[in-house]
Amino acid sequence: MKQSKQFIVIFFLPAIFILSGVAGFNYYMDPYWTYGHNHPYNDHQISVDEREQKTNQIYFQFFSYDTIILGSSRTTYVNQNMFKGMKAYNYAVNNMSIREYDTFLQFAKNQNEQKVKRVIIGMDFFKSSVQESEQSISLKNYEAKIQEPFYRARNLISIDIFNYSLQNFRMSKNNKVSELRVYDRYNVARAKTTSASERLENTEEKIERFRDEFYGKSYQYNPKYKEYLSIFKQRHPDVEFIIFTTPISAKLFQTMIDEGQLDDYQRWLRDVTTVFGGVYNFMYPNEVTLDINNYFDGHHFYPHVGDKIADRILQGPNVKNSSFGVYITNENIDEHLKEVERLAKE
Amino acid sequence: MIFNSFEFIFLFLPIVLLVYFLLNKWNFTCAKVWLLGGSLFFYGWWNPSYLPLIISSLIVNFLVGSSLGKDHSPYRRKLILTLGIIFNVSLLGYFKYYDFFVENINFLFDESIALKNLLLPLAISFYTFQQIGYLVDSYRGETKGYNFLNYSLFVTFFPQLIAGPIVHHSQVMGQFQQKENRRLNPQNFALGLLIFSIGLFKKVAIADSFAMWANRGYGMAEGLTFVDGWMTAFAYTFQLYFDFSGYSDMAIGAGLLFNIRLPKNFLSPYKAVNIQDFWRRWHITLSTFLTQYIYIPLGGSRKGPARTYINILIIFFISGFWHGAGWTFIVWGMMHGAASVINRAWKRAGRSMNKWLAWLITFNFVNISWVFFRAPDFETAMHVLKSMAGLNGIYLPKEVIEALHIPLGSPVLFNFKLGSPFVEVLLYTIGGFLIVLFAKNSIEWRDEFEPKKTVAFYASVLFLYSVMQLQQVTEFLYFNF
Repeated sequence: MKQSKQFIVIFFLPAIFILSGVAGFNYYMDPYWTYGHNHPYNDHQISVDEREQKTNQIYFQFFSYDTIILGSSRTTYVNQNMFKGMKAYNYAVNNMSIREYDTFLQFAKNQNEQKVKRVIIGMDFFKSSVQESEQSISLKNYEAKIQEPFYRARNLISIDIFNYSLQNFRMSKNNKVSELRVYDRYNVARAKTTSASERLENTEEKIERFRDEFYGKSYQYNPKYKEYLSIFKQRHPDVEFIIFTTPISAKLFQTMIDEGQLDDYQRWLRDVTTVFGGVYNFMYPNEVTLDINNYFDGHHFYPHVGDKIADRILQGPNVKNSSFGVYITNENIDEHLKEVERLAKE
Repeated sequence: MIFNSFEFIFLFLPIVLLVYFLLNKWNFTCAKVWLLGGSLFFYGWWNPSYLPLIISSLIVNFLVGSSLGKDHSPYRRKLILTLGIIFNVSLLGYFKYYDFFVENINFLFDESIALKNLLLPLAISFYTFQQIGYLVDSYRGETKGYNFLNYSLFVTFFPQLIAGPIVHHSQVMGQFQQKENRRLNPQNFALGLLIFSIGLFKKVAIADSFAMWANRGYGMAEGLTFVDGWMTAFAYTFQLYFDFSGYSDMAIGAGLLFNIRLPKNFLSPYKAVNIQDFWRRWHITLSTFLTQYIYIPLGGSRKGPARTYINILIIFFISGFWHGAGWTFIVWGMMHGAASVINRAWKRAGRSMNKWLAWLITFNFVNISWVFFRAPDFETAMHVLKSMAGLNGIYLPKEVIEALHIPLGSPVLFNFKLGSPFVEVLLYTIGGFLIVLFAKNSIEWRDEFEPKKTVAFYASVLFLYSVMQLQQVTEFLYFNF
């Protein structure tokens, strides 16, 4: 009898002790953004699953914004606070498909304390292929997941989340961004600095990957692309749309042309322009994209480029001879595309 | 509710347990009512719309059982029993097999009768069998003196309600009555913690890892080749065992916390050296039920070899069909039936076989037959089997190519796509074999239990590791049956 009681105590003591410690530390670090407290030891947060993290932030914390930013990983590096005069929330997540825009925007609207006036979308050319835009995906699974009973409590005792907490703690303590995407507690992403040789190597790898996976034979322009965008726009008649294209490095742009996608690129820009009336195009050879130092892998730019994008958008459509970003409409698109072709040949 | 969930482990189980023992100090009937209420809450947590069905089934079966206990004429008692069994089988037939029959009728007669797409009520296959057993035993006069509360508790006692073990009333009714079971028993409690933790670990740490690779493999069956085909088959073989036996361990462990000893359901089945041996070790309570209530009444092995073989085939046909409303399950059942017949004939002929060869044949047969059990259709099953037979080509993953010093440009190179590196899947598979063949199983742990400090620490580590993975809750495979 005594031995059995001892067994029960030995069973429960470490369990209670360790679980309490894990739960306490996970709460303190909050790597899934479910509580929202800030302190110097959790001001570096790795991107674990941005869909879940940002959706948690919106759902569990006070959320009041008039502008929502959508897009894929490139757009995550655009600082939401750079859009002066707007109260913007960057809801861009890695690999976001155009099919996800609707549920993301709807969720942000539903949780918002104020009316959403505008949405800013960073669009990527490679996301216009059948492969990348045909699958119907949405935020619904995440919405359901974070609303499950005891979702937050369950996460508190998770060993995986404990590992993320540890990584965040180390980075915050050293005050050093040591990953390619690290957020602060205000939803602003930063990237670790890479050496010139690393950048070159990353870019080469990225170009190879794009040749294999996204361009060339793998690429087929989705004939329904325009229709999907139109449906999305029609579902949100109450918001203003500001669209921009994400600036990939000129090297990667050239790969796209080499693989035979120039026509598709032109069709894509025409479709986006037709649906939304205009688009800020940054994806062409220009002073930013020609400088590989603006990128850590030739595809993802550093946050300072995100600031330039915000700055250019805030200047509005009518800027003459802009060295970075041209606002294109149905009126000037032909001229712009000719210019892009010329620049590409150069 | 699911055993490997936060709400079960940290809320439901401690609350139900604590209040149950507190109420027992005051009034035993109240404690049992509490346990029954808790069990129904556990059942309805997922979908409360299932509750009226199980409650109706309880009431009808208890009334039929009570009626069978009265002094009616033999003819009338037979009639009541037949009606009772028809009620249970019809319930199961309607919810589980309606669409299957309609699909086959539509196919055979070129009809277009609409499918109902009914949601299978949770645990219906299990509680139907349990209650049919009760009716048959009531007919035999073996259930006199049961009251509705005890009966309901026997059927709905939450540890065994959803996926067994399929409990025979004689195994637990007495335990629910015993005075000494009304107080927390540290020995049972300690043992319960150990067995529950082993089960939880089997499910969370082992079965769910294999599940990832099995799902990936069966999802891309067409593209499988020799190596990943075998890996996929092994992954499911281990997933199913660790998942289902893990569930049974958790059920047995949870039962012990309440001083209720549930019957064993698994006994290292992959150690079996023939197919009969396998069925004495796999889902033991189902085999016991089928033997007791179908095989023996059909004549068992008492009417000569031919009838014995037919009876065996009938049992395995029913077993296959019970597992799922689909032809793949029936084929799986018939494969086992045929293997059992061959095994009997082999024994009758007085032949024997080397133990290791017998194990190899048995394990591979079981492994291959699971392909039909897992595959959603015959096409997928054939893809997997073809790949295992090498008909889709024999290629090697990068790691093997490198180890054999073959140039990477070799045409035998293929991209291993089961979702994890080849070496990881291989190590898990080897680990799976070592555990199923050499590790002490949970029933051995139970039967040889001594509450030593080292065992307590071992159980605590298993428990801790498992509960720290609870953010990825996955269902148990047998919830679908």
